[in-house]
Parts: sequence; C-alpha cells; structure tokens
Amino acid sequence: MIELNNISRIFQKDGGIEVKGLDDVSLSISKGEFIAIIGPSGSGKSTLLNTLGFLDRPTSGQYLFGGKQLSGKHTSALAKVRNQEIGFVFQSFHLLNNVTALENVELPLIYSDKKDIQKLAEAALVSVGLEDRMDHKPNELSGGQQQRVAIARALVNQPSLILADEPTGNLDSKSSDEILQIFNDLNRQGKTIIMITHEAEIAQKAKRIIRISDGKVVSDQPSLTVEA
Amino acid sequence: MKVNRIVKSGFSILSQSKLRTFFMALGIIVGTVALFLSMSFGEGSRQKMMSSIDHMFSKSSVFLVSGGGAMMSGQQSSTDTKLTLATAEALLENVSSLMLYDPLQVIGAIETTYQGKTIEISAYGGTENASVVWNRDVIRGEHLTSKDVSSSARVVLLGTKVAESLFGDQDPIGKQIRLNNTPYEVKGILEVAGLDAVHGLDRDNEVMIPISTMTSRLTNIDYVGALKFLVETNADTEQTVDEMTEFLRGYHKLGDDELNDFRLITPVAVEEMIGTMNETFSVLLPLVALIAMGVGGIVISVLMLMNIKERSMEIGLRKALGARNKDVFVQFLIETSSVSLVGAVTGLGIGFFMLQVFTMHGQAMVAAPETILLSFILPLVIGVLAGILPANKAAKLDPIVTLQA
Repeated sequence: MIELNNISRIFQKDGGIEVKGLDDVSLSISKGEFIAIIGPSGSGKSTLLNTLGFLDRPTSGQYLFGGKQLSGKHTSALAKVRNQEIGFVFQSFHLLNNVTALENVELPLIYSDKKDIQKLAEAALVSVGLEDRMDHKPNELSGGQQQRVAIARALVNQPSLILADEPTGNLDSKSSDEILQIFNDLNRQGKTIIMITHEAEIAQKAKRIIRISDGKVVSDQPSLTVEA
Repeated sequence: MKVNRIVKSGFSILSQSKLRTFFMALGIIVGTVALFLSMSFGEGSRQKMMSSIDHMFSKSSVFLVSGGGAMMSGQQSSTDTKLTLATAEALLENVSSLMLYDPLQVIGAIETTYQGKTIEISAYGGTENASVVWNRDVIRGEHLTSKDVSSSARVVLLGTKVAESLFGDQDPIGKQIRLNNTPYEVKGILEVAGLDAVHGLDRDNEVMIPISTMTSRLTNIDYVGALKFLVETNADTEQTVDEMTEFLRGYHKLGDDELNDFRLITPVAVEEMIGTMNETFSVLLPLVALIAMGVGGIVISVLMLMNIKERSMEIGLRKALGARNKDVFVQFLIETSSVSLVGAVTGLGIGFFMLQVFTMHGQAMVAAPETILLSFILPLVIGVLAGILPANKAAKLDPIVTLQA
C-alpha cells in the first residue's frame, strides 16, 4: 500500500544550515498493518508522519501511495488525497472548541462530495461510543472523550490510512487504554494505522515497531504482542 | 453546495466572537451611515434649492440686471445708465417673444409698525404682474392691481411671517400699518415662499408694495435693480436674449467698443451657478464619508488578520482534513464580505431611520435611488477588498506549523 524509497527531507535553517529531518528512509507498509513509530524527540518521527500524510513533501526520494506517485502533484490534489484517504489524530486533539462534537466530526465531510454529512458524522460518533455526547462542545467532554471525537473525525470519510501523532500523549492511562482499544478494533476491521509514540508500552500494542533516530530507520521489527 | 457547507461552518465559528464581529462591522456601519446621510443631505439641499429656483426663475424667463456687476445685485452699479420701467415697456414693445415683466427692487430695513409693535423687514416693489411673473399669488385678500400701480396707492401685501409677527391671530386685511411712518392698507397675504435660494433671505418675512409707490415715497428714484421678463413658452430663450441685447445696446446708445451696461440672466445660467455652490454638499461631504468607509475597510482587514492569527489551528486543521487553499480563501473572503454586508444593511437601516428623524425636524433630505445603491454596493466592494489580504494569508498558512502547538 505504501512504498517509501530513499526518502529524504532537508530543512533549510537560518544561516544556510541544512537539517536532515529524514535521511534516506525506505519503508514498505502493507494494507491492514498497525505500526508504532518510536524514537526520541527531534528524531524525525513527525516529519515521517507529515510526509506519509501529504502535509509535507520529501526533498528527494519516491513515495508510492497505493502504487501511485502522488508527491509531485498540486497542493489541491494532495488536499483531496488527505480528505479521502487519510485520517489524522493529533496529540492535543485539535478540536474546534466553539462548535459541537457533531460539527467537529462533520469537518472533513464538508470538503468532500458526500451528501447527508450529518448522518455520516452521527454514525462515526456512535462507532466510538459517543452517541449521547454529539451536541456537547469539546470543553464539556473529558480528554478521552475528546480524543474519541477526534478519532470519529478521522474515520468519518472512510480513509484507508489513519495517522496518529502521540494520540495518548495527553491522556491518563485509562483513557489511553480506551483509545488503543479503538485503534485495535479499527485495525481488526482492516484499517491501516500508523501511530507515533514515545512510550514503549504503548508501542507494544501495535504489531510492528519502527524506531527512528536522526532521521534514519534504526530498527524495524514485529512487536512483542505479535511474537507472543 | 460544497461552498455553502464551508461558509456555514466558518460562520458558526465567527458567530462565537460576537463582539469582535460587531467591531468589524462597526467601521462599515459608520461609513455607510455617513455616506448615505451626506448624499441624502446634498440631494435634499439641491432639490430644495432647485425647487426654490424653479419657483423664482420659472423656466421661460429672462432676468435683466442693471450694470455689469455681480449677478442678482439689487443695488445700483456704478454705471450711468439705469434700468427703468420705461426700459421694460420699450423692450416689451420691441422684442416680440417677451410677454410680461415685473421689477425686482428691494429696500431693506423698513420700519414696519402696527399698534406699537415694530419690526424691520425688506420691502419689494411690484406691479399687477407680480403674481404671474414670480409665480406667487396671495392666499388671502387680493394682489396688486394696475390701478394700485398707476395711482401709487398706499397698499401693502404681507409675507406670512410679517402678518404673524404684527397681527398674531387677528385678520390683517384692511388694517393700516406704517412703513417708515407712512400708513399703508393691508391688501393681502402672500403665499409662502420659504428661503431665497440665492441669498438665503426669508421670503416670508417681507412685504410688497406697488413699485410706483416705492419709487415715489420710499426711494425717490425711478430706476430699479433688476427686471424679470416672462418669455413665450415656445420661444427660443437664447434668441430672445440676443434680441434683447441688441435692443438694449441701441437703447442705451452703446458704441461698438463699449461693454454691456446690463446683464441678461437665464434660468440655465442660474442653475449652473447653484450647481457650483452646491459642490460642498455633493462632493465634499460624500468624500469625507468615503474616507470613513475606507478606514472601516482597514479596520475590518486588521481585525480579520487578528482573527486569522487566532484561528490558525482551525485553518491548519481544515487543510489537514482536506480543505484546498482555495476553500480556505473563499471561506475567509466570504466571512469578511458578509460582515460588510451586515454592516451595509445595518448602516442603511440606521441611515433611513436618521433620515426620518432629520426630515421630521425640517431638514431637507432626499435618499435618491443612486444614493441607496451606492451606500449598499460600496461597503460590499470595500468588504471584499478588505477581505482579500486576510483570506490570502489564511490560505497560505502551513498546516504543519499551525498544528504543532
């Protein structure tokens, strides 16, 4: 499903210094995988995720998504890919505080061609167990509930890939478990999930762990869950 | 459909910061009200002047003013040749398109007394033609007759304000009043004429006596400042003016190298002059209003930029979730324009309300269709222009940066 061949991302800092966010990364990811990306902060985890999510463009290398090279496309075309193929989940949820959970979940749909967006958003909220919280605003919800709203938003457009950047980083352990359980269920239903984390314990819930350091993949192996 | 959803989604967020949105609209509201009122004020004054001019300088007429001096001057110029009623009679006989005339001769500060009450007013000298020539009849009693003029009768017509000041609720007709200590019998009350468009004199605070009475008893001179002639309706005014000029030059025995010692003024010339005088209202005030609206546009633009800064997470999120730069641009442009639209509509509403209030207090104000249209379109144009910069900035935000926080 995803092929990264010799991907590099170089940032130009002030004074002409070049920083390598990603350094010659090659990866192959199949449909239905559940991957955790771990590594110290500044190692390039987020740059990798942004690149996978078409928010960032690699400086060099080849990125095949579903067998197609999309990275050279116009920003409008990439916006459409993000809208239809990718669901984002962020550490700090990134919900709009002034509108209800339902309106937050509708957000990706308003940029799609889909109809009956309210019904689709309701269904997505039901699927994360928030059927009785639809008209609540984010500040009326707990952290775990907020992240579930964000997951519903990521799912609502039926993407093939879920990208999560430290999805449990702002949550207590109970809420973290709930979120990881949802990811597990989604993965069992066939969704491909790529999740950044810096907690080894969380990473073990995934099936494959990719460790990154200084922009390079330093290890890539199945998790203990799989081995067990 | 899609734009609809995007815009709706933006509004539900904009509507959360009501105070901010109100301040954004405020500049446009003030500008719209200022533009609307100043243009209505200009149009009102213009129409008032024009109607007053139409009244005084009815379409088919020519003014003959003595001397080469300032237009409409009631006083004598320094030239030797004077206009007299004989001049007028001679013109009437020799220029076929002239029908009637009446002099324009005013004397100011006449002491007018009735039963110990004294006011100072202006007196006009007129003939039996005055009601037709000046388009001003009496509302009570009767107008001057040819007999009054030929006999230099001591009769007087009062303006409504004079009648009110001297007589209050009493009926003035037939009563004796004194003008500079000479008794006159009140013969009639003149129709209301309002303010004189040219000099701003209150035409209701004056009296009229026969011109013959005026020249023999009050001025002791037989010449007049100006004469108004009515021209046949279908006659060519320009040609009439030419004929009058030719006749008068001969009548005054002017040599070829001598300048005219009189002036002929047509309504067209007067309207042009008034048009120039009216420029203050029709150009300067709207210009100030335009500046106000421009400032309103800048205010909107700046507040929208602040708004975008605060909403950068939202913008980055929208882009991550699939909004194209174009979608973001359109959303914010429409948000700004809509605030302007609301400002324009509110401003027009307030403007109409204030127009009613001003009109009730006697201020001449007219909302011409082009005023309404301009007061509506212009704020919208400014809103769209003010929205371009912020919307462009929003569209160019990098989602990676805005979502990092």
